[in-house]
Amino acid sequence: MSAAPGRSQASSHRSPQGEAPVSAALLDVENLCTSFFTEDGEVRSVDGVSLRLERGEVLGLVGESGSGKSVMGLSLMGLIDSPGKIVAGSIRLDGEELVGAPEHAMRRLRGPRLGMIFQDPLMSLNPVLRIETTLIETLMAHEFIDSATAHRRALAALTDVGIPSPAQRMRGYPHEMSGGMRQRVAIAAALLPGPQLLIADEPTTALDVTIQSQILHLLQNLVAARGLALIMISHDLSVVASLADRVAVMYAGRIVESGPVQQILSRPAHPYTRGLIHSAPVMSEPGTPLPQIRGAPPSPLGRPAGCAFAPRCDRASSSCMSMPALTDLHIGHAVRCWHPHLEARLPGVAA
Amino acid sequence: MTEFIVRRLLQAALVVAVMSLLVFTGVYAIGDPVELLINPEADQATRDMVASQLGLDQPLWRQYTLFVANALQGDLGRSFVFNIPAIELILQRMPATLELAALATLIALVLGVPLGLYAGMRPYSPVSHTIMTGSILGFSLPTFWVGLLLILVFAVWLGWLPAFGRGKTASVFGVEWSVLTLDGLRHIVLPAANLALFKLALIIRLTQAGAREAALQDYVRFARARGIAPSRVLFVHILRNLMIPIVTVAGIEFGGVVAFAVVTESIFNWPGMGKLIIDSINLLDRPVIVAYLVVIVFFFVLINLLVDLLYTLLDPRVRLSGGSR
Amino acid sequence: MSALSSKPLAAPAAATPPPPSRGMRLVRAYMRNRMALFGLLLMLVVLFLAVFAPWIAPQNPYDLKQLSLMDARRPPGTESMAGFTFVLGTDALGRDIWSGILYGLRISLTVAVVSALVALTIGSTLGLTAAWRGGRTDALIMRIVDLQMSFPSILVALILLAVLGRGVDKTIIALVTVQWAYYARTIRASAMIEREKEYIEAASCMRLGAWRIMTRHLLPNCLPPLMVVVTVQIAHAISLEATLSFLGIGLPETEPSLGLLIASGYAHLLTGTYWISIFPGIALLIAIFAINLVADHLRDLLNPRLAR
Repeated sequence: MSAAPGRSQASSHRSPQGEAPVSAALLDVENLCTSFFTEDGEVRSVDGVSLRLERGEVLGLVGESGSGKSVMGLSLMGLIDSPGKIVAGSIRLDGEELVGAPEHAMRRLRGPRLGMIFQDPLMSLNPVLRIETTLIETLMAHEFIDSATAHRRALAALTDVGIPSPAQRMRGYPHEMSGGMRQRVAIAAALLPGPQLLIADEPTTALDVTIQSQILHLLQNLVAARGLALIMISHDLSVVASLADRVAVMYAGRIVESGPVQQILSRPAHPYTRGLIHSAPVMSEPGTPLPQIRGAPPSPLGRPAGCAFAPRCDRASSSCMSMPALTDLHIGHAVRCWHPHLEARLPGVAA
Repeated sequence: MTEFIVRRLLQAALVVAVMSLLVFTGVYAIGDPVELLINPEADQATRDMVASQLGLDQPLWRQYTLFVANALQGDLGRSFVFNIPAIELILQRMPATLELAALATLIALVLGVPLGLYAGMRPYSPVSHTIMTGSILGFSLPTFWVGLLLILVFAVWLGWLPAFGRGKTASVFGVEWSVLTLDGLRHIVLPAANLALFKLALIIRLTQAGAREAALQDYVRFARARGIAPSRVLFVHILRNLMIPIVTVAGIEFGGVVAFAVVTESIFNWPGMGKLIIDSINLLDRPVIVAYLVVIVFFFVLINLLVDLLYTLLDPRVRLSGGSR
Repeated sequence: MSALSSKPLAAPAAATPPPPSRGMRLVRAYMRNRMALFGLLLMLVVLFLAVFAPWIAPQNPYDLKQLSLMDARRPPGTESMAGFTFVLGTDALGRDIWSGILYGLRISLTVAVVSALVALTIGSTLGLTAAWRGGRTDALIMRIVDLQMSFPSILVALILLAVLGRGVDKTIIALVTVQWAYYARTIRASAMIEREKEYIEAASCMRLGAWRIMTRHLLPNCLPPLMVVVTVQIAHAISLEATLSFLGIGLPETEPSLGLLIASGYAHLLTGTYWISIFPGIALLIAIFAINLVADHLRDLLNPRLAR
């Protein structure tokens, strides 16, 4: 696993007074809050999340269902529809503020600057449209090009993602392809307009295990070749581990731990992260009882006042009745816990 | 593909045969048509003569076999009342009914799809709520009563449109069409609107439900995530997927519209098949009743077949898996 | 280092009250929608009027002794000889329209509800049997259902009444024939899902009779979609019966439903005597509309897919 090449080329720009260059992250999210206003009350799916992403960096966003990670991805894209709404915080893409931006402005960004792929490619690709239509419409939505050029670029895109006999596949329909190929097509369509940031929401969950690694490999190559920044959303730490530079763990709408992937895997500080790693079946010794985190995540309507994980945590104490802040343990490694683990994990980590 | 068509045609023939038997047997049980056609003071001899002329003195099974034999040659009996072949009578009236039904379906689609789309895309707006409640009103209104209301308002009080009849027709391909003349158009507006109302309400609801569901689909999200223009998302992504169920339902329901024309034709005195059947039931004109029912059954089965074929054309997923499988 | 521990679960910081039962939630959700409430209210009013018609109506329009031809075709608001006002006018025989509507509602509703219940019984039995037995019984029953449903109701009713003639019982038979298939199909669909569930397997293991399992265990869980179908079908039956009576092939003149009232006014429409047809029509419309409103919201509530 290598560090993303883009990282060392963190871009900079001169501040107006011509002083020393200020390094600007590609994506800067500050205290983002997204809520859904339902008949049963307000559901705060994303509750004060901050993160930064550099160009060419891969961030793994890990959490269970209900943690708010998918809503996070949709919020970044501006695709939260009523009854949902971004209620607070800021999202800055290359300095440009996205929260509160009008829809037509967001549409100009989606595609050329921001892209997203979803979990089930059978559902993401319109079943009644040919592959070429899906690809070409993506190009035509943003540029004035003739259909011949568009066709050529679409063909090239299919080749880039490793689709065999692309010319034939262009005329076909999604249901004629396997799951892995469909996801490749989706990736090709999302990357056609050349975005700097791609958000992948559980891209491998719906696929077979062998295909999963193929897609991850493809993503890895694309990141390296294009300097693409990638946010990889998943519930599976192992999937994220092979690809990410940094990992952020979400629980009940908040980030509970974040840091470089090796750090997180070898010295997980938050009890939840530790529980996640240990409960992955591949991590256990055969024959030993499978460790699990007892209890279940809180319902988004009835979150406890203090640390949301406390009811399930062995290390909980009375201080956990109040919400801990995200504090740095080491450089770049932050954790939201009153009683973080400071010792290393047991060896036997799969890279 | 041909295997598919052949199989369906055979099924259709079976249904028609069964239905004709049921219908024939049933209609046989209606009162005595002879009574209606002759002088009540006629003596038994005259009655017997009339009865044998009409073939009513034969046992039931004999009558049926005779009927089938004739039917296969295209002869479905002669009308007791008009004394011309029943099939001819029906075919004479068919264009009027088909024209009415086609116009009504067109109105329902042209108005219903846009309204349903709007209501589906903006489910929380007050306009959408009005549309949806209006649609409930639309299919709650009994067709016959709306017809009366239309006549009252537009013909009696406002005097804008005529209440009865078909008006002047223009002949194209040997068939009379009333939509091609202004007078004909004036006459067809009210009955077509009346007939369309129920369908309109259903299509609005169908489109709304479909649009609402489609808007939540991943492919719509993915299209938006790629920055596709909202108009294209609506017309290409959503509508294309919606049209499949809408068209198939409209097609299947066309048969229902033709059947329901019975009511509208009675009220507006529209000279179609529907009015014919009501009159025939009241006059006990058995051959016409039987012939009508056989024709209608055949018509239905044909429509179902066509709709199935249309479906395979529209949905690539079905098409490529092979209709013959 | 196992995360399993013997420490008891820490009490949650904020205790939430137990969620209300499903029935209560349903009622509460229903109440929240103003339109639905309106529909329910309307329906209850209609029901009340129909049940208590003989006590509310100022005149019994079918008691010839109470009629006078002098009162024929009076517009709404005229005073009658007996001292009360013809609020909605009179018809060609001097009958008070308002009274006619009340009695007519009674008949229309009775016929519709009776036919719905009979169709429900027949349809449920067949649908349950089809779901339970499966295989060829299922295929056969469903074939008949499909055949029945591919023909529009008006046509089926027309054929039947052409054969059977006019009459209350014959109309009910026609209405039942038109409806049973919907019940059969709905119940079969629910039953097929429920049948796979474990509690049914458990009941079979306990060797309870098939009939007992079907009625006491399977049926209650199929009720939600059935409720919607019953409501919709009653509205449909009212409308269909009115149409048939209007055409002169449904209920006989001795049982004057709203359809017949409307028909009697048809001929007078062109002379401007609108009230004979219009007012009964409005009453009919209100009854059907109210039931459909209720059914519609009931359906939305019970639809799991829209629950999100």
